[in-house]
Amino acid sequence: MKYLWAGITAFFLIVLCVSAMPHAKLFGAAPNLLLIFVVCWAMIRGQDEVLGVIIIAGFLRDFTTGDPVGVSVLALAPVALLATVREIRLVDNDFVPALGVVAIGTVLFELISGLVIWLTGENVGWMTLIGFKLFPAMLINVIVTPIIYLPLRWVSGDLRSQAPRLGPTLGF
Amino acid sequence: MMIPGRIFLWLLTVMAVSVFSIILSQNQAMDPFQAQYMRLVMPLETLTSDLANPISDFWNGATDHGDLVRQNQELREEIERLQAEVASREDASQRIQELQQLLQVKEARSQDQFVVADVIAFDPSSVRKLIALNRGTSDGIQEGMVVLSAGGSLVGSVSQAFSNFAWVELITDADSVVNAQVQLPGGTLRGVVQGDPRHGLSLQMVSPERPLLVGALVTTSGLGGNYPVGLLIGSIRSIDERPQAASQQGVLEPAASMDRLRSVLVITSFKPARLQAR
Repeated sequence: MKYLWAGITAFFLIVLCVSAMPHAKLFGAAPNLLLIFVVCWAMIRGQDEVLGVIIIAGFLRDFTTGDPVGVSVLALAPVALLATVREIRLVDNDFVPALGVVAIGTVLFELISGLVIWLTGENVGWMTLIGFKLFPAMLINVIVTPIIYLPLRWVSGDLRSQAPRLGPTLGF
Repeated sequence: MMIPGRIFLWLLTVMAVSVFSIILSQNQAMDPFQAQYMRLVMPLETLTSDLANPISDFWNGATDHGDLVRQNQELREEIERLQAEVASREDASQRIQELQQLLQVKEARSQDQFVVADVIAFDPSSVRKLIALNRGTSDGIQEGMVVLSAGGSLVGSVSQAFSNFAWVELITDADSVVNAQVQLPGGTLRGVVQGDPRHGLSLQMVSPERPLLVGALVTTSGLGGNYPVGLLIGSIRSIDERPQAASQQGVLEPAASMDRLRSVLVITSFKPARLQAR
């Protein structure tokens, strides 16, 4: 059931990404809502659950865009490794590490996407991507993270505590 | 830090499945699934895009920091109020104006046949410049067909066509190359316009026999047979100073606003050379 909710949420975020977000660019970059969602899911709900979410979200994204199917799954895969930050517990909350994982995840996502697209024979402006696109993309994604993190946190609650939460009602 | 065995196995599996999917995609084996999926998604994308356009108009005005800094608080509030009013009331009339523009383009090029299409999505990738149209092969659109803006200037060419929608590669995409000619006093100079991820459009391989001029118009030359001759691409924004180089080059300002495309024209009567070769 939780993967169904994840898929539905990812679907609507992807539609927003391709139809509305290009109109909301900041510093020349549009927020990658799907990447932020996957990272927030990993940091709130754990590494085990995000493994399935990455596959669902990645394939949905590729079916909606003009990229070869499979590119986004590869580009999102590092989030599964970055999610181990959650277990290290450097700080006493998940939000600050989530911001860091979003920043690093953005860089890896853009580089892996660019690499795969380049390997399929398309031209990729590497100097421009690395010099002018990565930092704005990282910045806008970090800024937008609370918009996705907070509702997901509210729905999930603290999985480590016994406090009542909305998640079980929705099948999480 | 050691990667847990199950995560490592998951990574290997995901990489294998992804690579297999990419290979299938490159061989167009995924196209039927993609077409069916997009048939379901398109109405939602169109709705979201229509809702986002007025907000985008307001947002673009509100982030014009130069004007906002110079004006006092009363003028800023007045401009925001007027922009919100324009955005909410004038969207329909803008649509009518766009359609009138499209009609003018069709009348100016009466020898060509066109399909009008709405832009329903932009590829969110940082490395690709693609837009999605709500028309496809069932409307006569094929891969390679030329796409114009509402103002009649060159936007790009169809890169993938499905039954009900199509992806268009913009001329600002790094993979796009257009044979062009620069309109100068006393004649034209041939060159190549290539998509540039940083500047948008770059003009290259222009003969040094006459100097380029900022503001000079650049149109398609028709060489290669992939674009009709005489389509406006843009104007020269800056010229790279390279006195010893064998050719001239510069940066172009595209005539069409690639970020704000809403409706486009696909020329269905002109068959590019790459289509005729099939």
